[in-house]
Amino acid sequence: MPPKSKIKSKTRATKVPASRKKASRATNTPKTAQTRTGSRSKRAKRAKEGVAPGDRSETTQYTILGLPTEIQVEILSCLTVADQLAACEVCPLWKALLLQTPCLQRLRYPTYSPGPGNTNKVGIHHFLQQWDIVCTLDYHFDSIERIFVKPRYFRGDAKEEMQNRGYWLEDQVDITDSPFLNDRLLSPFEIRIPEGTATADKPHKGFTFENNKFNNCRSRLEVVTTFESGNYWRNDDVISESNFEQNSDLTLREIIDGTVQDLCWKINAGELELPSKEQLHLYFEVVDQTVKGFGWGYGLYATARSR
Amino acid sequence: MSTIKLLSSDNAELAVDKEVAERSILIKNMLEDVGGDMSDQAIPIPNVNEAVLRKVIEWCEHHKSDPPPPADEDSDSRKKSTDIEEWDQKFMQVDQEMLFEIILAANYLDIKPLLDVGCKTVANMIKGKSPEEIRKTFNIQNDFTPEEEDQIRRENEWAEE
Repeated sequence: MPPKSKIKSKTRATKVPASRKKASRATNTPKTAQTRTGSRSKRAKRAKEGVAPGDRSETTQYTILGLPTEIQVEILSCLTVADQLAACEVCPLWKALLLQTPCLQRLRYPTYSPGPGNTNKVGIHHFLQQWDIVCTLDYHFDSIERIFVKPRYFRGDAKEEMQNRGYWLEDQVDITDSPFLNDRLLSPFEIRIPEGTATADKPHKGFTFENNKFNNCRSRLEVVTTFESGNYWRNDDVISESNFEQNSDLTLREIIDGTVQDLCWKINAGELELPSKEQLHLYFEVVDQTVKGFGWGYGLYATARSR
Repeated sequence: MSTIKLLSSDNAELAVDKEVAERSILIKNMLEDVGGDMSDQAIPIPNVNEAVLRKVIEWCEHHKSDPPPPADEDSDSRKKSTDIEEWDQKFMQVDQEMLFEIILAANYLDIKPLLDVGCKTVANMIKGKSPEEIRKTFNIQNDFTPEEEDQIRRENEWAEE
């Protein structure tokens, strides 16, 4: 569990990065058709030559891409998010399957609600849920150079748990060119609350519930920018806050782009003075309004090279 | 215990215990349709050759007393573990071509647990590898064209403000 919850009050609202949202581009045409044609013609050829489908003499037929698409989906669904990242770059067919098959997209989001007592109904993409996103900025602080995901935990029980659940990364992974950045930040799928956790009648210790809104508590997503390092930060570290609609369909790329561009603009306009350390920590924080005073943070970091 | 005969695509006749053969839902349904008595007639399995069929029967023999898989459980509560029991791991130590043929046969014969083991075996061959290593493992051509690679790059460029 990310230990980033904290109590804070709202002071001001700034520009919504959504306004910088760039027009979404049409998704690549899946290459499935092409691949299928290939195996079809092979089958046709075999039929013409009178070779039985099971004939061992034709050895080239039995390849992984020759398997029916639904079986390839089944195989890909056994992969962790980290392995999906690599599989996506193997061939156009797998890329299309991973990006466009709902049961595979779904693996990049939590099935169950995260958070203490699992009261939060927000399903955040695993890139932020399980990992931290780190951006390196260019020399002039006006654009992003590379984007990485890195493991949030490095040691002890947490490492073992991450390994068991398939979210362990040995090292940071460059995702600048990953099409998964075009996934929505918030899960487009149904998020469940596991049985046996807090309910409105029996609230989780230390939290209060209002108006029985328990099942509809994805209320607001907020990006808070702060210079503070480490897992905890204080109110006076906050340099900007932006709100998102609960039903926001912003992609990871749009959120990262919007937030970082906003920050860069402020730095270049002299509105912000860089601290001596050259690492800017940007946190995504999800604020659940039903459970008062509780926020759940997800880390997005921006690192700038020294001038 | 009654025995039935299966006829492979390359015309080999294999005698199998009915109980073992019924791990295949296809065969089970077929036997139910004809009233169960197929003692003097071989059931044709036109999509599976003898070598693969023997292998599949070997798996069914070993797993004949497994409890039936839970009826179509909720796909997202299904545990996506790639743990494979030891006997199955050894069983799946075959060349890739045989592995894919077993998967296709399990799919055709409707033996879901065998299909699962096959898919997990392939997934384990993908795990922890780079894209290039995965291509090498499965002899996959990198058929992203230079234009497509370019397009991927362009799609991912950051919009200049």
